[in-house]
Amino acid sequence: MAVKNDATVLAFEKKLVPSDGYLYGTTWNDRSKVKPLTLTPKSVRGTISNRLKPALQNDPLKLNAEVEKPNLQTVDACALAEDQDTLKLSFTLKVLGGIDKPSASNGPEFNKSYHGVAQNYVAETGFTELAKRYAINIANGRYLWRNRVGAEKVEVVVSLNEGETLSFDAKQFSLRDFNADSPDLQKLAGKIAAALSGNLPYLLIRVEAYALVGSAQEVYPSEELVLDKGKGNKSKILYAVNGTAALHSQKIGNAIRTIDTWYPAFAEAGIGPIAIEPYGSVTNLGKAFRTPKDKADFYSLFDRFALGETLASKDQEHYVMAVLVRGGVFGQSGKEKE
Amino acid sequence: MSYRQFLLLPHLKIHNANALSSPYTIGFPAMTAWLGAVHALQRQLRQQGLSELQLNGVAVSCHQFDLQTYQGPGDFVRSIVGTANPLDKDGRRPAFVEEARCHLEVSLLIEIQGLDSDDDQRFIELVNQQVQRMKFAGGDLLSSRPVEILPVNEDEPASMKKALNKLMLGYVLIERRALLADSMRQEGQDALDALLDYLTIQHRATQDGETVSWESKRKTAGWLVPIAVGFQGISKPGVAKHQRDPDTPHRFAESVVTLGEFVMPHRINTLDDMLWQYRVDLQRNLYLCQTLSNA
Repeated sequence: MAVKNDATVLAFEKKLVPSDGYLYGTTWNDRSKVKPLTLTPKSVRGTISNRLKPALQNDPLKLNAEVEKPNLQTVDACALAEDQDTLKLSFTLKVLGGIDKPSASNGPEFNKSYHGVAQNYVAETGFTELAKRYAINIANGRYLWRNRVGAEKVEVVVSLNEGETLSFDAKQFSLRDFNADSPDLQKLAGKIAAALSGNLPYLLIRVEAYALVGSAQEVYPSEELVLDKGKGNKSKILYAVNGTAALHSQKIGNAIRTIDTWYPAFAEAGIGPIAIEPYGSVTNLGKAFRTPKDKADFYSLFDRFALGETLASKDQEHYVMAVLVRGGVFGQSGKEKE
Repeated sequence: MSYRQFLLLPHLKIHNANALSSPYTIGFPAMTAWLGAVHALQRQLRQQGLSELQLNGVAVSCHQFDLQTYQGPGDFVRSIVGTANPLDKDGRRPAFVEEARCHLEVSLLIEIQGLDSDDDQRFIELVNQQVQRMKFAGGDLLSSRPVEILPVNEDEPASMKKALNKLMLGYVLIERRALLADSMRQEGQDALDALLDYLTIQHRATQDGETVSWESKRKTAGWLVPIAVGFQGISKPGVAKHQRDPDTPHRFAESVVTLGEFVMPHRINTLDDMLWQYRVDLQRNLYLCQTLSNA
């Protein structure tokens, strides 16, 4: 039998490092005036609109009593000001090389073969395919998430290391495929590819996305995950850094790596690319698209790939390398090997 | 020897750094994290040809600190703002693991030795590049200012001041282990009691006729904090199954927590008060970070 992946401690640092995304309000025609957006807590009287138990539904008196309850809630909200019609989202993205070295590894067999395999991949592809997809996700403004939905116009301005700026009309780029092409896109993709394959020491780009959403419209920063909210009754807590409403860096990272069109159910699912994840999981569908049963998950592919076996297609190699670019802890329990 | 040479890494903006500095404290990242980062930097630079270089001690000045916790109106305790992990292979949400994180901005002042003055330019270039590729305290570096080499003559106040000003508007972490040792010796307290004694705020009332005035204060003035400064070995060095590095003996250890104080750099009189270094005491199985003046 072939050698096994013997690394029980195995970790890769992420190679695409986004900052938090800060939200500002401005106007589409005059972008010289930019103001940080702040969170405002508001208390509202909600309606009772959840599904009620059948016993309640069938008793009009009880139903009335239930529906008349005030259902008070306090939530955080964030909106543009009256004189602002455009949301500006700004973040930086650092791209690093060094994919051929895990940040921690204790498997001698693994170390022996992986280094060469990774270098082979870099030499063969130069990361062009992945870089192009990352570049398109920067250009199409996917990281605006809900703020992109219903925006009339979206413009993305990318500043490179040397001060050069590229500008993209995000609505020109499809969120469903990666067929787009333009000279600016190629320039951006070229830089990302060079950084990922180690030809540049690092690449730091600054991304500013402008979305015309309409005056005083609500915008959507990240929601905070607070498990134990204490006795305060706020039910939704949004994210802010030094008073400026913000998107979590993790959320921006997830959007940029939404490049996986290689999962088995791609054609039937009809949801387009999904984020690069070891099990191809999509949180809002509560579903994992790459299951170990189909042998399409990261670990099944990686164990073969890292030890020098060839995978069924180039696409699978792209996927495996994209997970390594994402980073994570990929060691296995020592017990399972014996 | 009053002439010393320093490397300044100014205003490193770091986010999502590990704020779980020891098993029972959260807050400023542990000293081991900063010394670890400096050690990693030294190894990288040596690999790039500066083989004589030594990075000997580090001072950490904190300009801004944002702990990711939430305290609702009227709450006494704060709760950790968490992050969720991706779904597992069945599409289910895995259990939450609460990990305290922080965003912070620090400057590191690192003492250097063994740098050939011909190499200055190359050294600066290499450091500028290398810093961008590193992680600090488990967090990502978002931005930093260009690094500098600072020669300091400790006998000259102007030269000291110049270096300390570079760390200003911030607070440097110094060690206040002596406070703990004193109260343990004089008052016979155990270590944890002594530590808590310095951290609690005591409210006292004094009555003067009809008027009662309240006074809230700590045992000693100063911004005292519990800090994690290293490890105490609790088993014999040996080989454990699947340990990370098979060639180095491995042992179980627990954190050592003591008192530290954040002070404004202009109040520092000797650089040794704020420069931290590794110290190993194999007799007592201690692996510590200590300031040079406490060593």
